[in-house]
Parts: sequence; structure tokens; C-alpha cells
Amino acid sequence: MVALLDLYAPSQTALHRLDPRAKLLSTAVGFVLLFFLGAFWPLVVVAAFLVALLGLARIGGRRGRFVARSSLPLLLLILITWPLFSGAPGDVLATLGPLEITAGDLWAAGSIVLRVLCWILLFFLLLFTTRQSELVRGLTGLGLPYRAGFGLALAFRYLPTFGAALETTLDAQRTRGAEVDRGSLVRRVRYRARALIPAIISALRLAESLALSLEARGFGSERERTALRRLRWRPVDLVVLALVLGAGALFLWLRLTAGTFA
Amino acid sequence: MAAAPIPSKDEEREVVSTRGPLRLALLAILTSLTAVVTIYLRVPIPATQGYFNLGDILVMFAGFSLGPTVGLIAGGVGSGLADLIGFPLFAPMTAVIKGFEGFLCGALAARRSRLRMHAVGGLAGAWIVAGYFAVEVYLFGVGAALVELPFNVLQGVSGLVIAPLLVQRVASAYPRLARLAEAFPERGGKVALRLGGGAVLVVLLLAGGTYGMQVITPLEFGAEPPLAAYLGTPYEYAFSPNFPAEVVLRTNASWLDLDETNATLVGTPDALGSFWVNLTLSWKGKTAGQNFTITVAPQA
Repeated sequence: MVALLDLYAPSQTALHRLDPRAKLLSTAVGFVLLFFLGAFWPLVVVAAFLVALLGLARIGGRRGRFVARSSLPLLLLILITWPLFSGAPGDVLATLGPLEITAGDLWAAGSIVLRVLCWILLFFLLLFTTRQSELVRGLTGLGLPYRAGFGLALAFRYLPTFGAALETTLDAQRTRGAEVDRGSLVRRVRYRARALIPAIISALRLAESLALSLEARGFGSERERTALRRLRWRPVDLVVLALVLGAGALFLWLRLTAGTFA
Repeated sequence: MAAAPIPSKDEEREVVSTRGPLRLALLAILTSLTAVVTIYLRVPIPATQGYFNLGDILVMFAGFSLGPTVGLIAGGVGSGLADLIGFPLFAPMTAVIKGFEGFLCGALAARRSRLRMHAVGGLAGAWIVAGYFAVEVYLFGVGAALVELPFNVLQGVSGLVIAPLLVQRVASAYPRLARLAEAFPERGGKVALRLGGGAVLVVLLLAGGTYGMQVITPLEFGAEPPLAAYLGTPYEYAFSPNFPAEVVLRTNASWLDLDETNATLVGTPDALGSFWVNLTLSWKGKTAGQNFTITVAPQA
């Protein structure tokens, strides 16, 4: 059971080199605007565009399979259950007891599935092309206080450490004959919960020594900080951001005044 | 039950870091640990493909042992990070829902009796179940939200049962936990914090419940139409829909009118014969219809 702790796919494509602030803002804009987009064919276009961007970022089959594995169950679930409750008008295709499935229901389900797919692709696009350290740098560049950004970077940094520690504890239980995945639900939960006590205590110890070493390095004593790497807007970053914001504004204007893409 | 304290040099170490760095370190470490536990401690459910995670235990632990601030950050950011790595679409809603879960646990039961922690854990569990349900209904539809519901119930229950026990075990094995908690002093306005947190919770639960009921309840007519009418005698049919729905009336009975404010069909027949009536209700994506024929007979 080795979980993926960093989705970043190292590469040097244009999307990888794009300023993280531009990527964060574009993702946020896309996330919000998708709430306003409900029409089937435009959603197909957006999904295709996002897939093309993933291709442009040279995201390979391994990560593609990861996306599919983590999101297909949800998408199928929506596709199956949405028509049961939507009650959209249209030709009745089938009846299940009191429920009627209409053609309108199927279109609506397709649109919702596509919208959720677009959301998923949007987030994965950001995470596949941006290092965790760049994400934090982007967030601080957008106004997150330095201390919060530093804490976030610390949290990212300790994910593999704690992941390995937890795995070790569970493995130690297994070597002593614990059958973690046998028996009732309560038993399964209990085995795992036992691994938490050593994990928490070692984490608290770590936090204390971390605090001491932060203090020993004079953390928080300087008012004006200097940085080794600074983010600089390149012309291309600004152009991309302007395009995203412009397209977003145009879409929102059409959507709210003319009601297209509803 | 009482685990023997682990003998260690922790007891002797008297240097306690000043608050700023210690706070930052505790927040970052518990955030990271919450994320890892959410990702790694997955319990497969027998006979289904599904599983649930034990992240809520850590979220509640953070609040119960170190207070509302750690609960909020470790719960919100930690669980959000975990989603960011596997199911990034869930990350924004998780950050809000789990953050408030940890905050509640800290605001209402930090360093209190175990019973109280269990009770507040129950509240926090109800909050995550309701919170996820409401958001998922909006994003994915009622059906998908109903399928996800039991998993969230299991997560909430695992948290409310185990987290208070865990707090006790960790505190007895690592007595310095109490000292660490002092890095986050609860300032004045403690009561306000609790009342505020409680009030917000009640409002959110009520709103979520009402919204959920509205989504689940089908749109229905509250009455059956009278099918007989008499020439010259006023006809009235109050169809009482269960929601303030929009009504569309289609009919070939020119004498029949729709009174939308009272949700009533009214009119006085001026001709004999059979008249078909089609009444359609629609409200927030839900529809219902009635088709019937009114037969007008001569004066009874």
C-alpha cells in the first residue's frame, strides 16, 4: 500500500514553467466559472481543451491511469444516480417503480458528469505541473503571510516522513501476526487506531525539537526577509493570465446577460 | 486501559520553546500528520469496493488535545492536503467542513472530560455528515450524495468513539501534551467562542437538514381534482402543491382560470361536455403533472 504523496510530474514544458501565481489564479477562476456552465456541448469542448493541456504538459499514462482510477467511480456513480432524482422533462425512456427516466434526465446527467470531470482535470493539471514548493511560493506571492506559507511547506515536507513511520508501525503489527484486513469492521478500525498512538507521540516530539531548532535559527526575528528565489512575472505569464481572465469575464458576461451556456 | 507512561528523557527536558515557533511547529506537524493518516489509514469495507479513512480521529484529536486553533488548521488544511493528493476536487469543501469539525472539538471540549469529548465528537460527526451531504447534493446530485452518506457516518462514528480514548492514552503516555497545549492559551471570550460555535453549528445543521429534505421530497399535488362540474355552478379545485411551485395550466376549457396566489383552479362552466386539463408544477428542477378530464353536466 504505497500511496502517492506528490503528484508533480517533473518536466520542462511551458505549463510547468508558467508562474505558479498565474496557475493558481487560473485554476481558481476555472473552478468558480464551471459552476455557471451547465450546457453539454460547451462542457465537452472545455473537457477536450483540458485533456489537450494535459497532453501539452506531457502527462503520461501512469498519471492518466491514476486520474481514471480515483475519479471514475464518482463519475459513474453520478451518471447512474443523477437520472433517478433529476425529474427533467422529456420523453420517458424507462420507468422504475415511481421513478421515470427521461431523455432530459440523461442529458442532465451527462452535463453534470462532464462538469465534475472538468473540475477534476483542472485540479490535476495544476498539481501535475507544479511542485509543492512552487505552490507554496505562489500562495505567498499572492498574499499568504510568510509564516503560514512556511508552515504549509513544513507540512508538505513531513508527509513522506510520517507516511513511512505509519507504514512501519503497521508492518510491525503485521510481522507480529496482526491480520489488519481480516475480521469485522470494528476489528479493522481497532488495528489501525492502535498505530496512531506511537505516530502521534513521535510527531509531538518532533514538533518540540522542530520548535527549538526554529528558534535556534532565529526564526521570526527578522522583519524584512530576503529570499533566494523570487517570483518574477514574465511577459508570457501575464499574457496567459490576461487570456484566462478575459475569457472568463467574456463567458460570465454572456452567461449572465444573454443566458447562453446555462 | 491506563497505559504505562513511557519512561523517557522528555520529563527532564525543561526547556520549553517560546510560543511562536512552538505554535508554528505544532500546527505544521499536526497538519501533516492529519493528512498522512487520512491518506494511509483506509479501512476497506467488506463486500463492497468502498473504504473510509480514519482522518477524522486525528482532526478531533487535534481539537480535543490542543484547542480550536490547532483543530481548525490541522483539520482543515491537513484534510484538504490529503484530498489535494488524491481527490483534489474535494479539497475546497473538505477544508471548510473538516476545519470547522476540528474547531468545534477544540472550542467545546478542549481538555475536558472524556464524556464531554464523546458528546462533542457526536456533534462534530453530525456536522461533517450534514456538511458533506449538502455540498455533494449540490455538486453531484442526491443519489451520489446518498451513496456517500454511510461512509461519512462511519468516519464520524470512528472519530467520536476513538478520538477521546486516544487523547487519554496519549496524555498518559506523553504527559508533556498538557504543556504543549499551553502554547495555545484560550484568551478571553471563551464563552462567546463556544456559544458562537454552537450557534453556527445549530444553524448550519438546521439549514442543511431543511435543504436536504427539500431536495429529497418529491414535488406533489396535495389534492385530487373533482371531475364533475355543473353548468352555471362555480367550480373550484385547490391543488395545494407541497412547494411554492410555478404552475402552468393547459386546457380547452375556456371558462377555467388559474389563481396562482391561492394555487386554485376556478371558473363557472358555461358549456356542456368534457374538458381536458393539464396542470404542470415546476420548482427548482423538480416537476409534477396532473392530467384529468372535467365533465360538465346540466344543473343538478
